[in-house]
Amino acid sequence: MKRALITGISGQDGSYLAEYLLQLDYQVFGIVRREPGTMRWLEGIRDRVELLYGDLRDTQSLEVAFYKAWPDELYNLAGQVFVPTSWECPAETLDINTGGLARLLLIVERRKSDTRVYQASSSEMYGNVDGFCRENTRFQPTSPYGISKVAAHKLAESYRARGIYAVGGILFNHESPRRGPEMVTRKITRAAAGWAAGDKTKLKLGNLEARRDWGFAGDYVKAMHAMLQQPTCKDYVVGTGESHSVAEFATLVLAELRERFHGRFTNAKLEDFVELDPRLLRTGEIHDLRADPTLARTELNWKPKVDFPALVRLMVEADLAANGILTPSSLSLGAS
Amino acid sequence: MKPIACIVLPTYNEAENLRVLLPRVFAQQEWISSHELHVLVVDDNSPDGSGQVVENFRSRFPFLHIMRGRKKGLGEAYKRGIRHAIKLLNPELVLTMDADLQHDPALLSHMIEACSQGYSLVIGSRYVDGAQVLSFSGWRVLLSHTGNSLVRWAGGLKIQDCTSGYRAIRSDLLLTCDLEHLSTRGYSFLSALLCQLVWNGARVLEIPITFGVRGHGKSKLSVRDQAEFLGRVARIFFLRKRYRGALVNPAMSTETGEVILNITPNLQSNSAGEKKTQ
Repeated sequence: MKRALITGISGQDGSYLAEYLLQLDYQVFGIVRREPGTMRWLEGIRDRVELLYGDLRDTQSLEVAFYKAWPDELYNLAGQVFVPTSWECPAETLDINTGGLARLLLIVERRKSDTRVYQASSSEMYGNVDGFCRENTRFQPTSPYGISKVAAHKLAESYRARGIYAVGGILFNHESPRRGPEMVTRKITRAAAGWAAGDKTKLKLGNLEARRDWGFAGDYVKAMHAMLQQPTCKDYVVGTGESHSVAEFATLVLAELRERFHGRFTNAKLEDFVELDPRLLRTGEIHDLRADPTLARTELNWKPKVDFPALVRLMVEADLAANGILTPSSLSLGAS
Repeated sequence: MKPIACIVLPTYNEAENLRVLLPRVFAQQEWISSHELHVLVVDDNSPDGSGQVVENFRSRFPFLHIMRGRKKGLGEAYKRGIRHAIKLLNPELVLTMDADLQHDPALLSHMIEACSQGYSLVIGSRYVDGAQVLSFSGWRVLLSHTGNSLVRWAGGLKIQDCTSGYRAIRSDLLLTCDLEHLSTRGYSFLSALLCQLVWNGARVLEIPITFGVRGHGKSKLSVRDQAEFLGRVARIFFLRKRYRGALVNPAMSTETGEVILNITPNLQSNSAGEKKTQ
């Protein structure tokens, strides 16, 4: 039975990955921080994963967790992931996102050098690129977050030259009902639950025209696992290949509400629910990010199953249900 | 100058694994302050280009050496490698490991450290507390355990893993052994050597290892190897009485002629380079 250690197991990706690995009959260990965070996403598998305390900034805690887990595969998914925060605490962002991987790789090389390491790299590493982003596209990060991820990505590459199986998976934006509430997609779908309940306050958003390549996190964790099963290790870009703007996302959310609450949102316009807040505009905004996942498709045999409209539906549905709002369609589903 | 620890690494069709293993091994030098780490690859003219892989790495790793020869079995490769390593590098320690990535180089520093603390034979052991074997099928487990018990019984040993190929041996101990009269083919060389080492007064330490999954390629353990192994066990049993307490010929007493030797010129250029940097 293979053993996997996941940092950031309580987060969106960590919880989906843990579920997937359990399906594949792995023994799953996860690192969580001592301070109380949310364990909500692990509820369904809480008795099948072993949680270990640790912090990416604390070498000893990682070493102890590594010894307990003694993993064949190590997935480094923990991090300071919110771009605006990375401007408020850039040094901490670098310490966690880059330093954390450095500490893990050191432990791997020193203690169990055949452990395969997955590093969660990010599309934010690219900065503003015209057209599609590929594995060999130049990185021009525009935020401390992007810089921390580029540094970590390069670190993994340099350990690869030392014989460690370390992969940087460049995942484009991947969302789900488990996405952190500060992220724009989740912010919108959570607000949508409020609108459905009759709340009239407008949602404040930053740049509505920012375009991202959005996919479903549950699909993307399968690519992570596939990357560690290859005969030779290399980096992969994972995304859908199409990009949509924040405005498109919000419009689809409204359309979703319209469909569920017959009559109520018929004349709803985006402007009635969303307003632009200039304070939320980002310095170093990346305008458009689009993946070219050809390599992942051909070598990993990976394809996203959930498309953009389905993703929106999934997230809206979950946030409505979480707020106890039953829609006519879910009522009819319950009756049948 | 630091004493040398030389890893003797026999290979046959391990090109893909060498590509990963060699950088991983030399990366461990950073954790080994007491010794200078050398690797002598003993390649039996692998048709898959293992030799070429090593050649390509030699500019990156100055202490990587290669020695080629005809395919005459694992035991013969070990013998050739150990003999030449001792003769040309005068190492304080000789280490052996498998090239198929089943032995984790992360243990090298611990094994060498143990040698510095007075042990003359350190074994990366699959069968002590804390060790793990990941890759064996039921049949291989049975085979390995049976083989082990046989050697342990025949040689009168108290060692848990008598057939592990992951070892660190002090050269002075190795020199008391009669390599020439050891089995030439296959895997039984390892256990035959172990018996001689122990009979000649080795201070043994077994370190638990995680015996990993083979990287690329197939295992080369053949039925013929297993048959030879049985013969060797019998031999160990009878030799035991003859060898006990006796001083045996030093390893360097005889020399085989057909070995193509690549390391001498490389060594000289290295030592010259060393002096320049100092």
